[in-house]
This record gives sequence, C-alpha cells and structure tokens, in this order.
Amino acid sequence: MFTMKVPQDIRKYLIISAVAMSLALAPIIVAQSVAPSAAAGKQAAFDPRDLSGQWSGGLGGGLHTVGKIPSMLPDAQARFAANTAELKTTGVITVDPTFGCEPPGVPRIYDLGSSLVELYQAKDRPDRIFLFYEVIHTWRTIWMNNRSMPDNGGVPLALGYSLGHWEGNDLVVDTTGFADWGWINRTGYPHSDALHLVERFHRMDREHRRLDLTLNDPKAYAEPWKMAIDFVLKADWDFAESFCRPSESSKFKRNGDLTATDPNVAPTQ
Amino acid sequence: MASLPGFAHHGSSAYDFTKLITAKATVTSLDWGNPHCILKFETKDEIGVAIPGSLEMYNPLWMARAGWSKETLKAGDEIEITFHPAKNGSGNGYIRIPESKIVFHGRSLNLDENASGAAPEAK
Repeated sequence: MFTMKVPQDIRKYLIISAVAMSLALAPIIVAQSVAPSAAAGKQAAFDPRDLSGQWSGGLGGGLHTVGKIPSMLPDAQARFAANTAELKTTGVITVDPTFGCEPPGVPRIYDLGSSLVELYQAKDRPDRIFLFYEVIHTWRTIWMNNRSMPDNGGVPLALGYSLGHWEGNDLVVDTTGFADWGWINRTGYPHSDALHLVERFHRMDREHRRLDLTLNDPKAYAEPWKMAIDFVLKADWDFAESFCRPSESSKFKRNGDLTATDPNVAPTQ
Repeated sequence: MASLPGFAHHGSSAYDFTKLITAKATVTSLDWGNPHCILKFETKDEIGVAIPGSLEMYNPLWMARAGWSKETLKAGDEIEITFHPAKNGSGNGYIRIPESKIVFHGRSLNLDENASGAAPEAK
C-alpha cells in the first residue's frame, strides 16, 4: 500500500466513487477500483439514444483522419504554407492560435489535449443538447428544435452554429457559421467560412461511442474530409477545471528548445 | 490504453521519435502547468560537469489522472529517464508512452491516465 500524500488540488481527480471515496488518497486505488466497475458496466444494458456522460478520446483528444486528406484549393494551400512555414526551419509550429489561447473552433477542439468531452441531455430541456469540453473549459449548444440561425449581425463564430437531429439512434449535428480563420487540426490545415461540419454521434455499447465527422468546405478543399474519434466512457472521472491562461501559454513557448507541438495525434497522411 | 492515432506519420516534430535515450539524472524541478508539464533535470558528463536538460511531458490533467502531483518528483530526486531526444541535440526530450520511462526508487512511474498499473511510488 502506498502512502503518497495527494494535494487538495488533485483530489478531485481521484475521488471516483462512494465506494472508493474512503480510499481515494492513494492513487493506485483508482486503477484498482476502475477495473471491476468497467467490467460490470460492459454487461449493463444501455439506451443507444442516451449519449450522455463523460467521454475520453484518449491521448491528444483522439481526432484522426479516415482515408486521405483531400487536396487543398489555392487559398487554403497558401494559408497552410504560412501556418507551417516554421516546420521547414525549426521543426515546430509556434503560430498555432491555440497556443495564445485563441478559441480552437471545431473540429480543432477535439485535437487539443487529452480531456473529457461531456454530452449532456437534460430531460427538462428537450430543445437543446450541451457539449462541455474540459480542455479549455467551454461548451457548445446543439439546438434540437429545427430553429434557424439567429441574426447576429454577421459576426463569424469560432464554434459555429449547431443544429441537431436524430437519424435512428445516431445524433447528427450540422454546424455552419464558422469564422474564416480557424484551423482544422494542430498541423495547420485551415478551413474557410464555408465549412459545413457534420458530426454523427453513435453509441456502440455501454462504454464506447464513435464520433464520425465529415468536413465539407468547398472554398478550401476539393472533396469532403472524413475524420473520427473513438470515445471511451469515463463515468468515474470528475470533470476538471482546465483553462487556457495566456500568461502560462506564453511562458511555455519561451521554454528553450521545447516545442508545444504534440506529435501524437497528427492526422494520417 | 490510450489510442495513438497516426503519430508515426508525423515527420515534422522537433523530436526524434526513432530514437530513445536512457540516462541517469537528478531532478531540478517539475513545472506543473499547461499546456504540458516540464521536468527539468541535470545529467553529468564524463568529468562530472552538470548538464541541464528538460523533458516535455503530458498536460497536468493527464498526469494527475495517471496519479502524479506537482510533488511527485522534487529537486534532488535521482531518476533514470528514457525519452525521445530533440533533433537539435539540445539534450532536451519528450516523454511518450508506452516506450518512455521515468524510474524512481527502482520503480517505473505510471505515465498513462488509462493505465491499470502502478501509480507513482510513495516517498
């Protein structure tokens, strides 16, 4: 048995259930207690239309390309070249807007660190579904009542405007209204303001959920771009605070030869 | 186990993911912050001169869920590290599971938030 003292600020990650609560000060207990509950959960019945819960896409967020990245049109190619120019000389990307805590947009928000995504279907709010993103402590609203996008004076949106509907047991979300400055992923691929993102959430079993994404951006890419994330339910984890602090991020970028480019989830090319 | 989609195709990183270096080191600090934690250390050259280096680790959320805290390693702790070196020869490097290791008190510290193995050893 370990006796490691756990500071207050991370106890929230470790206190995982009423059963484990009395033992939560020993991190190894977390691992030991997750296994039996996960095994029991896999055998439990589930409602395929219940997509709620805390889901982890794994290291880096889990966003990955399915098939090939489509060829870029000239404007997008020029932006991509500018976004990635540093790679040729320094091997790193420091101009990634998210390093300065700019809003990531979608699907970039799924390619931004290892974190939970919570989907919340409130029974008393049937006209909307919430998606909470732990990574920068933000959220999206998915409107389920077939409403039209309200007039916001033409202000472009980082996260776009999202309308959802059900196709069988899949939640399908159409998002438009994006700004023209966003990155699709951490490797510098841009999107335009014509981006139409389609997300299809599909619960495969009690513990697993698949998100298929199709990016249709006729001003930037010659063909649709297909991506996906395989989520694992993390019912026992606590949704944590994780803000992007400009002061912290700028300090990190000055850290000698280190790079803030996480190489683990670059799209397949 | 976390999925690692596509990382092998990334050819533009500052780190050489075809190489692993193992070294005995002395911790000088553990910088616990976003976007990634940084472990700073010193190694000794053949005549005993201290050489500073640092390792980029995962973000604090990931590390905490793997059982770490900002006090898991402190200045003066003797460790053995296995990491991917920076391409520029700076001596810095990158921790990536499953191949990277940080061994302390004879035990490999857990680096995976999804692992069912051992958490960092008590001190």
